Amino acid sequence: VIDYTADVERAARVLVRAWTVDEKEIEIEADELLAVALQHEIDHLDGKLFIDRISRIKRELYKRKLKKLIKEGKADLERPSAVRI
Amino acid sequence: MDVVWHAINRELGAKRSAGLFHSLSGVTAAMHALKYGARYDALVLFDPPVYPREGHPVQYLQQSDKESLASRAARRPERYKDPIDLAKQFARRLKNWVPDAYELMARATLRHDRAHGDYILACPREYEAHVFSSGANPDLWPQMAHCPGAGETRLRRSESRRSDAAGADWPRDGRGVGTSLRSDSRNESFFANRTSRRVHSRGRDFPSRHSDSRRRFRKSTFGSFNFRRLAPFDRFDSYPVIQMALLKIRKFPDDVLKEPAAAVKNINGSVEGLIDSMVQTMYAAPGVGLAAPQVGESKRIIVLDTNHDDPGKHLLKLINPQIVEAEGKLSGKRDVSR
Repeated sequence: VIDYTADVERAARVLVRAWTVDEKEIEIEADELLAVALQHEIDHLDGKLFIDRISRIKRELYKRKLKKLIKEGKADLERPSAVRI
Repeated sequence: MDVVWHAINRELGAKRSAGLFHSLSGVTAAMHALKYGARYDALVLFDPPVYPREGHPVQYLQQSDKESLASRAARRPERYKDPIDLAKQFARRLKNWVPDAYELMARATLRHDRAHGDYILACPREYEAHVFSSGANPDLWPQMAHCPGAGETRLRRSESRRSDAAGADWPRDGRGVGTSLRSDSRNESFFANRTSRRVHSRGRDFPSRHSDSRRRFRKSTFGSFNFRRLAPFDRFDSYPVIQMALLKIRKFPDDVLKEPAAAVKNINGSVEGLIDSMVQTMYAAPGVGLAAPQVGESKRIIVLDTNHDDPGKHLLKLINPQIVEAEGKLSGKRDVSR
C-alpha cells in the first residue's frame, strides 16, 4: 500500500511464536509499536493488506485520493507519496 | 582437472596462445592459472560462474541464479530425433549467434544413440543439474585476486562498447567488495586476465539495441532485483560501488501482496540470503518492518526493527511467525503502511 496512514484497530499486546534463522523456536511478547508492527507484517503473510482492515468508505476514499494524486502526477506506484485521510 | 591441463599442453605445446573459455570451463581455466601459473599469453573468460563467498551481499542473487540454471537443466528433454531439432530450439531462444553455431552447439550437446536410432543428451540432465546446484566453489572468489597477472585483471562488460577504460580492478583484498561477477557476467561480460601486453577483446552488443528486450532480459535474469538502486547499468566503471542487495518493495496493488504466503519448510542458504537482503532493504527504505511478500517472495518470513537509532540491536528475523495470544485494543493508534 502506498504510504498511507489511518486508524486501524490492533491488539495492544501480542505473543508471537516463530523460528529463528538458527532453527530455534522463540516467543516474543510485544506491546506498543512492536506489537503493531508484528501484526501488520503477519497480516502481509496472510495476504491481508492494511486496506482490508479499514472500513469500505475509507477504502473508497483512499482509492479515489490515490487515483487523483496519480492523475495530477503527484504520486505513482513506483514513487510513493503520502495519502492521508 | 589435471587431465584437462595435460591435454591442453599436449595439444598446444609451446606455441603463443590465447585462452578463451566460456562458462564452467572458465572456472577450470582460472583454477589452472592458480595452480600452475600463467599458461596463456592472454586469458579471456566469458561468463565464468565464480560465486562470491557465503555472506556476501549479493549471494542471494547467485543462489537463485544457480537454482534456476539447475532446474532448467533438469527439465531439458532427454531425446531428440535429430540435432537439427535442438539447433532450431537454440535459434528460437538465442538470437545473436552466427548461423552455423546453432548446429555446432546442438551436435556438441547430443550423442547418437545407436540402440534407439535417435540422439540423447551427451551429459545426462540430472548430472548437469547436479553440476549447477553443487558445482559452485566458494573458495575461488577470494583467490581470484591472486591469479597470475591479477593486478592487470579487468572485469569488462561488452554492453558499454568501450573496449578500453571501462575496466574495474579485481577486488584486491579478496573479499569481493560488492562486485557481483556472476550477475554482471550474465550480460555477456567477461573478465580478461592480461598476462601479455595485448588483449583482444570483442564483445557482442547484447541486448542493448532494444530497451524492451533488455528490460525483459534483465527481468528474467534478475527477477525482483532492483537495478536502479545499484550503479547505473550502463556505467560499468562505477560497478564496484555496489554494497547491498536491495530488493524492490512491492506496493498495492501488486498481486503478490494479496496471496497467502507459504510456510518455510527448511532454513537453507537461500532463505538466509533472502533474510539478509530483506534486512538491508528494510533499513534502506527505511521501515520498521518488512514481510517477504513485500519483496515479491511469497514466504512466511518477516524482519522488524522498531529502533533505528541502534540498528541491529533490536533486529528480529522471524520465520513462520504466528500470533498465539493477543489482548487489549489499540485504537486511534496510527498504522503506517508501505
